[in-house]
Amino acid sequence: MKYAKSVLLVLIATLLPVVAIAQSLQPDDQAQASVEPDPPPGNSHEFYFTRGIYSGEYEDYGEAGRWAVDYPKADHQFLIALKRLSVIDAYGSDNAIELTDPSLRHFPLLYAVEVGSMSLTEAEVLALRNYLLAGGFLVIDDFWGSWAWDQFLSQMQMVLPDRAIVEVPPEHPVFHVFYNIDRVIQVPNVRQGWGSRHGGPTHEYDGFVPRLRGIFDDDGRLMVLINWNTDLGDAWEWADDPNYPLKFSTYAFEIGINFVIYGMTH
Amino acid sequence: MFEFLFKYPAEYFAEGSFVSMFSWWQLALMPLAIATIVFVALGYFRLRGQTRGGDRMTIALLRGTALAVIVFSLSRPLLEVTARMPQPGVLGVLLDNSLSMGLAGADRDVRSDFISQQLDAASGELLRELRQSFDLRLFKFGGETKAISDIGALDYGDGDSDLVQALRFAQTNLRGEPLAGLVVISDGAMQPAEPLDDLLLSLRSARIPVYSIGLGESRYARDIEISRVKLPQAVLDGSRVMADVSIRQQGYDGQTVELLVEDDSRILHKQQIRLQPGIQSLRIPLSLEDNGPRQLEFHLGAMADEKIAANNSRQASLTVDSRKMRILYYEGEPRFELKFIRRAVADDKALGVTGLIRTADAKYYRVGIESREALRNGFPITREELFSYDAIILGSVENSLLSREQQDMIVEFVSERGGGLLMLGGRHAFSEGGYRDSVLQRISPVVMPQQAQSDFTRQVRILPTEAALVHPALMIADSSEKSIARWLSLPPLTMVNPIRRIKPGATLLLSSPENEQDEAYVAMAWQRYGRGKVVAFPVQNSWLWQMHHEIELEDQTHELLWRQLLRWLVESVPRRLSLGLSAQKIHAGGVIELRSEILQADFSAQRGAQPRALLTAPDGSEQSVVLGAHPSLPGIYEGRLSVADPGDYLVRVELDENGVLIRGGDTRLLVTPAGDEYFHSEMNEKLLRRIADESGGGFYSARETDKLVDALDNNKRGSKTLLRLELWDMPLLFLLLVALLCAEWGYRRWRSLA
Repeated sequence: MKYAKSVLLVLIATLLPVVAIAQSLQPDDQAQASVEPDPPPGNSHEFYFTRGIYSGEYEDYGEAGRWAVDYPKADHQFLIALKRLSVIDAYGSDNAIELTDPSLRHFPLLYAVEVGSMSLTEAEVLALRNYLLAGGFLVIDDFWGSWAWDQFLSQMQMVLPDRAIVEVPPEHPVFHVFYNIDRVIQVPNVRQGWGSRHGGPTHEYDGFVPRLRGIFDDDGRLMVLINWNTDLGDAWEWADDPNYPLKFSTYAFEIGINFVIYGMTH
Repeated sequence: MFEFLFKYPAEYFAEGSFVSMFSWWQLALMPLAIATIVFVALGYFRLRGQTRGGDRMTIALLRGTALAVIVFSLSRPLLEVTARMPQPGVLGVLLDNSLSMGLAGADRDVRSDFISQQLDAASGELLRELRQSFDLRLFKFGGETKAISDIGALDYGDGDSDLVQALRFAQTNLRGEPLAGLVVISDGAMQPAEPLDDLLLSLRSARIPVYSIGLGESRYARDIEISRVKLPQAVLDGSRVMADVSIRQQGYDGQTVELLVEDDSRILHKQQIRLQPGIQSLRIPLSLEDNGPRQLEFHLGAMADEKIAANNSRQASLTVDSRKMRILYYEGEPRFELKFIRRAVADDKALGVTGLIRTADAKYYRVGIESREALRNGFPITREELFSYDAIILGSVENSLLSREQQDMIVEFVSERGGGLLMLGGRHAFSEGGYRDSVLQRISPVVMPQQAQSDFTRQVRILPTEAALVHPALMIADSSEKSIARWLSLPPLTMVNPIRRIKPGATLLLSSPENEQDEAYVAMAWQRYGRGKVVAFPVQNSWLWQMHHEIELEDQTHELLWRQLLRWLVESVPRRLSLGLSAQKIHAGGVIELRSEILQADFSAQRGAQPRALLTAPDGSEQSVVLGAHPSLPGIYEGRLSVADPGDYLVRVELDENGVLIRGGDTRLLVTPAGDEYFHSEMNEKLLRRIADESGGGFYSARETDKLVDALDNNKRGSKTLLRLELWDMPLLFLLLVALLCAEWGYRRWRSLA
């Protein structure tokens, strides 16, 4: 236990500069904290943190759909940490794109959230399938419980009907490519996070146990990485909130950076 | 009496000519002698009052004549005469014993008939005439040269005749003899194994004229042959092989012939060829399926009324290498390029790409490593570790990430190890990465701009150059036409390194024109540096050729390009043991020369080794030879093997290294009865005439034997010799001198002047 505390202290010390940078941003998630407000100029940067815009059953999240949960602040704050902690030539702002946009294929790493509401059109299924088969890497985040899982599963069975979803073992490179992560922890949304400081639960619905699952290609490379029963996006978004537990933000940044570097090297 | 006075017979003076042997100091003294004579004469003429003018004139004349006789003697006068030697001179006659001498000409006469008729011991007219003036020494030559007593020893069965070697043999064999010259009777149908210049220099300096009689037609009316096939010495298993084939024909312009390429009876390629006048060259892509040393046969279909059918097939060998080549990809930042290159070659058993990626300052991620210790300390800092790879890919790695020692090591890796270096574009590559004045700039095939342009970003289309269309790495479709079409249809890429010039020794393969007016950007160029290759590919996202929405999922262009590029980069990287043969095909009984390179574990030259070359016959029997160290090239070992029987042989080199037997350099050797004798089998007048003219002899056709005999008769060497006879000590001169001095003394006494 003493050892675990020491590790935590080291991690906190490592991420303090990130948090400090993040806290300089406005805490309001509706604010446009874009570092580079212009649209991405093609492929002049090596990496664009790209959020997938998909059709969903519940298009009730403001003017956008569920795809836009935590958008764009979570994206911006994650990019700040990514650029601060690694040497990746990352475009500094958000880059949301529809699955059917032909230029999707120019961004080989795709982030999608709240996929429990995902209801893909035929064109989106085909576009996402082609994207993944061509070599794209999809990271799924922030969907909870068995109902959301079933909905997501039904969508992925249309996209990659011949591929199974399996647990990603702890020795997999995705846990070690940049940070060594020895276990998957449940990252709560902002309200659960606040509550957890007073002993409240971190889960939503019946998503009690966090899972990191994946879909692999024939050569054993991850095509889709699925963060189920956890919410990395909220941890990035609320990393600048002193009431949101630092351990969740730290973990979310660490595993998020691991995802990106894995996606760029495998 | 004449001979007593003049020392030599009168006819010598009639036929000969006078020459003087004045040396430079004698010539320098000549004005002094003239001045002395003038001084003496003036002395006489000054004695006015004491003597009469007639006396002075007489005495001066006598004294002056005596002085002239002395000066004449001092000038070493010579009489140059041509005299017949008491023994007849020696004439070497070299007779072609090769298979091509059995070919019939347009008049149905077989080439060897000339020898049978003219040099027969009993009835040969040419033989009889030559014997009248010379002591004849006969030689036969084919693959090797032998002295013979008469033409009964000829069987016209040799392959691979070598005239240069035959002339050297005769010259050596007849050294010390009064050699009048050498006569070559041959069709000259051969490709000299060594340059003629050394032989001609040797013949000229020894003053040995060569007289040649050319037999056969100098040009066939109707014939087609595969005049040349060139293959790389070794390729990696599964690589596309580009074979260069030259076809030569007369009499079939515009007709079509089928070219077939086979590997052990398996058809690799079939193509209809429309024949062009003279020689036409083809570049044929081949895919080999089997590993090890291969013997490919290139075959042209027989044509109607063809002169020689045996020259329609040619064999060529190469080794299909099954080893896995190790490539180190060093990347200064995570980039999708590494991911997609590794994916492109993931299924290629011949290529293993290990990635070393800087992910943060002083933090690296290793991917594709073979052991936990590999690259643990980052980019290799020892020659042994770096040289264990076959190629290096440098990504977006700034100059400061590589120490001077590491960069020097990369240069040695290319120049000495023979490894490949591929420099990719990126925001920290080339000038933008600070390499403008680096050690690596020296070996780069491109000229890096003086000023870095960190803000330069351009979407560019990539176009192949002429060189790329026939380049094995850049042929991205089954044919050149399809390959061009594919290149033109590929989507644009991003370029962040504006490079416009290549080095003088480099080859431009891909370019990206900015517009019609501007100079093109360099997209790919390469050059050899030392033993290795250096390629510059200054684009930063070739992965778009895999991911771009215009690229179909089934499209394999990206995979094919990278597999071919990396294979080409490493396929000529030397192994520790290699073996080269002087020819891939020889005639039975011929000699093959072997040259092996032996390298140590760190790929420096191995000195003091005792490698053996091993020749395995088709029946499994073996013969071997210990290779000797080259006198001046470290790591090079040479030897010769004679092969008696026709067959398909395997040759390899083996080395006992501390009790461990290492084998390598496997290659095939084809031994046939004829060798390459039926190729280039027309009478080679150019070769025969050049040897004759430059040695001081002459070239004659089969109908000009009388001219040959005349020319030999006029030859001043051998049976006749040039004599230079000394005249300074002729008795006549001595008597004349004494008489002149006595006359002067007598005159003085008579005139009371003494």
